[in-house]
Amino acid sequence: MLNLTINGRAVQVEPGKSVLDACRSASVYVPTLCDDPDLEPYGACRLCIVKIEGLRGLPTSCTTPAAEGMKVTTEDPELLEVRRWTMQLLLADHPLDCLTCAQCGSCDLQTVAMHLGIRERVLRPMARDAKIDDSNPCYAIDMRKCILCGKCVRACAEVQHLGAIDLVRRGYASAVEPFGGGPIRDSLCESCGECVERCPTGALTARRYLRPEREVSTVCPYCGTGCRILLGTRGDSVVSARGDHDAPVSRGRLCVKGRFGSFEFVSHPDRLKTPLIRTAGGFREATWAEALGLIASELKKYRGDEFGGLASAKVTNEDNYVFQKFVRAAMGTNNLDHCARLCHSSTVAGLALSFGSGAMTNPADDLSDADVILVTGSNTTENHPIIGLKIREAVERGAKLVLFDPRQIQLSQIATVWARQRPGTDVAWINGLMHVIIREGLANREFIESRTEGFQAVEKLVAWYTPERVASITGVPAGLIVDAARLYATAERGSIIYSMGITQHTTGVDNVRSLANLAMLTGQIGRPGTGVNPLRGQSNVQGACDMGALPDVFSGYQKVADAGARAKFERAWDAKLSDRPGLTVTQMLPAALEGSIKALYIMGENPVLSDADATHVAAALGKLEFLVVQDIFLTETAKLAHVVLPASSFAERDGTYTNTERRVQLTQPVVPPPGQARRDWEIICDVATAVGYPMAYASTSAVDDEMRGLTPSYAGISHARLGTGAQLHWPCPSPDHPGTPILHRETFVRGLGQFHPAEYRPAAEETDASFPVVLTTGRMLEHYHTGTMSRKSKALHGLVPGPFVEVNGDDAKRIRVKNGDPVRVTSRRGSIVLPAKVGSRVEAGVLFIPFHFWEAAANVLTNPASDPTAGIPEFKVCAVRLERAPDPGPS
Amino acid sequence: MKKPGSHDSPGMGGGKPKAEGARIRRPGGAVLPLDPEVERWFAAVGAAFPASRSSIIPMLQSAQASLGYLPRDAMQAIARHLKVSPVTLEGVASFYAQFRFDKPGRHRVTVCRGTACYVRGSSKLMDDIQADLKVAAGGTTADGEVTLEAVSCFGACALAPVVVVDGTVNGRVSSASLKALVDAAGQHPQPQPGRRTKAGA
Ligand code: SF4
Ligand code: SF4
Ligand code: SF4
Ligand code: FES
Ligand code: FES
Repeated sequence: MLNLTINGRAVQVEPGKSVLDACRSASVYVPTLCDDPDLEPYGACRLCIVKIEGLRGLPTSCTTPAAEGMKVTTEDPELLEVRRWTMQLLLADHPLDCLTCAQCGSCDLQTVAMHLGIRERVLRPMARDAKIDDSNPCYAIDMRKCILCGKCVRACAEVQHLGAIDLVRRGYASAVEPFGGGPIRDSLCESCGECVERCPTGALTARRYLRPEREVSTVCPYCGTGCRILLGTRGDSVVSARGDHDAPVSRGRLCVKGRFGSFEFVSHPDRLKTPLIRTAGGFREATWAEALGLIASELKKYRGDEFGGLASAKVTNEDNYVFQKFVRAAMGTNNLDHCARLCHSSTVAGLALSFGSGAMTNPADDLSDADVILVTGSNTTENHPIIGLKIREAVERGAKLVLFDPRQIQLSQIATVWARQRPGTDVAWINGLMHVIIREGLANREFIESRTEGFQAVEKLVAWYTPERVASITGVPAGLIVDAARLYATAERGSIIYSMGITQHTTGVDNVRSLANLAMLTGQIGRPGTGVNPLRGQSNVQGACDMGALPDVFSGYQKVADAGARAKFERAWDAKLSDRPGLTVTQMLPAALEGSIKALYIMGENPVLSDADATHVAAALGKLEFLVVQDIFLTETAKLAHVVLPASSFAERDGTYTNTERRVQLTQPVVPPPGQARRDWEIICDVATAVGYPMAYASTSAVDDEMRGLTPSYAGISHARLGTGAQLHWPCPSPDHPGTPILHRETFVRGLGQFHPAEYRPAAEETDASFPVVLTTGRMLEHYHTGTMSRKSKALHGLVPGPFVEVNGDDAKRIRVKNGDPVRVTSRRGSIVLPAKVGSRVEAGVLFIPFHFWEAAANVLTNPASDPTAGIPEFKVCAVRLERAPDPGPS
Repeated sequence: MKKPGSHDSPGMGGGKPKAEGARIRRPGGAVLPLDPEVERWFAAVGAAFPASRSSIIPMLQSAQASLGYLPRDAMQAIARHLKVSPVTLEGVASFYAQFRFDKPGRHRVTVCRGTACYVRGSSKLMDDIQADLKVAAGGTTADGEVTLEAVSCFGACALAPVVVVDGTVNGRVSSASLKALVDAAGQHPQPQPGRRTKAGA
């Protein structure tokens, strides 16, 4: 500790801190305009000047390191005079329309002017001819108010690791601009708002913001990263959102969805506020008693395997636990699933077989320890943006990025090796990597011997996969296979990151197990900075799986077929439970179509848009004798229901979410639910009670207590512990257990890691003369899932208002379409018309369509063929035809 | 390098060979197709610069010398080579008066505004030629023929007022003789050193 004296008061600071830090720890205000705790000191505004005994001149405190024995003076007439002059220079060309400025009240320039007692402008006012860039729907740019502090530029480079903007020109013409002068919307900018949050003036301001009365921290609803947002409220409405700097996952950072798109939908007028009952002429509003009565009398008819339930990856662990109990104990069936089937069921199945646990092995912060990061099938910077930042950060620090992705995603810009495999050929290139690693003697024999089994079969199988053969299957040049293999195998710590580009295939489980093979072959697992890390899509998809919202397991992956587990749950729930694993969502819908499933209860999901072959899904739901949908909006699926129940949004709930890293986070309600909407678990309890199986809990934490008593991996993760800020990753079997951030350290969860030989199998649907083009689908930065929430945000909707298909320039030329022209995309199942986005993001012969848009739903086209083990549909590959649309399609 | 929400320029991807299944990103391995002339400069000269920040100014100068100005694609190519963000490079380049970002006209007319020339009427000269060509100092005529510039002093004060047309120094210029000089230049297409003759980009 260093000892300093600030204005005569003694303070202590850690070595490495600045004089400004020392002043602040002495609670002394020093005016600053260019300093920020997250950014490197810059020394541009010169307002933080101080006097230091023995030093000449007026050093800037933000750039002067604190030193032992320093005597600092922060205020005297000379300092005041110099600071006033500095301010006068800044004010000479600053507009004085403070009252109508978006920054009014939180403007640092105002604060400093106040502090210095500025009463007039003494320099001749100059009007600066500066740009107003109105192109970004999230934030406004008014360069007339820019004081050139450079915070935004540094935030974009140092926090967002991007560099989309910089100070250009000099003198009076200086301004902050994107490359080529803008508009910002056509630049690299990812609309994260890190610059907006830090701008001291009204130069960069969020469009939708009101000063909140209070702020509550909650978990972002938009992806599995689990960033924490501070939602600001006035009365019952949410009026602002910003990053929570105390959250270890995100440390204050948020992506565009979390920062600009997370609260508008909460108080949207279309929110469901009362139960709805279908009548001949549409829906009518109903009371809870009426709706529950109707549900009870109907559902009683379908107890057993004619009933099915779809839980949700968007609601809390407690909600999902109560839901599985309702389906299993009250309705007597294991026909229970949720949309994890559609994103990561191949992970859950595949990694459980290989390692004994189907979850991310290492926390995301571990990426900072990795020297090689292998990313495949994950457009991380768009779909898990804050984890994407951790990758960019690692690369900046010197880690090497190996990327296998057919599309030219942002990460391709910083990759050391970027390979564009043909969609659906993943097993082949992974086998190819293993071939090279074994051939070059880079396999970790010691690890294989001591920690794994079944290696011989894999060794034999990959012998065929020479880089040349792999090249002809995957289209990746042999040299790149060799480079990638060497980089990953020789890394001190190599981490694998993957997502739905790996899982959503008919070979999904094989893909996942092949990545597991690769990690075991090189011993890149069980240590910091290594591992096999599936990034889970939705905010609580990990938790929904953990809670047993799956057809074959209770919470904590305890098998329904296991007599011991069943007996335990039967005792606790006081009900007879079925020992037969139920149907998956991909089986339930065909079963509904053919009539063996007659009633379905859907909590917070929208399968009409999210599932493969949408036309079929709608037909299946239409066939049901009784459909209950519990949601926050009247979704495409809810429109088909007999009864619709109004539920709570993320901002109205309490409970826990488990993020992709197995980290459990507790939240509190921010606002009350609108109208008569209620918490999901409460609704389910009432429904269960109405069908004759009484369920009631005093509170959300009472639900949690029951769940933990039955679920060893969560046993030690109580609300009480989480409430004190404990960061707990399951498994955490007891109240004094610290949690398990890294899995498989000494041994694998299943004992020995199991190698699994997988041969390359082509995708279920290959291209042919009538469907010559490969279609792959996915998500994008600006939207979430079926768009129910994100498209209600003016910011997100403004950035990407409608559907499009990415088409390579060659293909576009061939069918004579230009950027923005409508094209028709047809598969064996359906056809949609949408505008083409012509460029080089995809290669010739490949198309990409994001699935967020109902008006051109990608899943009209996709193939419901699914993985034999996991039942995940092949969203990532189907064969289509691309044509010019005859007449202008929807725009 | 564009963000997903933006549109790629028309024709982009057209020149991309289909067999290109993948590529390793080595320094200079531009991922997007760039203007062919920029690519040619880069292959011939640019790629040889060491990939460090100290190459920024020399590379900008080299690109400008061979292309006549700094088109955006040149900055993209340099940015990629040096692994800096394109706008960082633009920030540096735009700080120096020596770099030009607009394609220059086929002819360059530079009017001296130094003290001696000013005293002998160069500001009227400038006003007249601006009105005549309908272009402000620093700009290029709409037909791409003439770029008009002002400098502080050519060091030929004895000849004031001085106007340089396509590198030739003309002394004792009047508004009328200047118009004649510019018209004459227009009839003798005389490309500037290193400038390309055909419009690219
Ligand atoms: S919004 Fe984010 S990406 Fe865009 S300029 Fe600001 S910091 Fe950079
Ligand atoms: S826009 Fe704001 S943050 Fe950026 S330099 Fe100007 S005043 Fe500073
Ligand atoms: S990265 Fe994910 S969790 Fe974080 S703010 Fe964005 S959408 Fe929300
Ligand atoms: S805060 Fe120190 S110079 Fe701006
Ligand atoms: S002032 Fe014009 S040449 Fe010196």
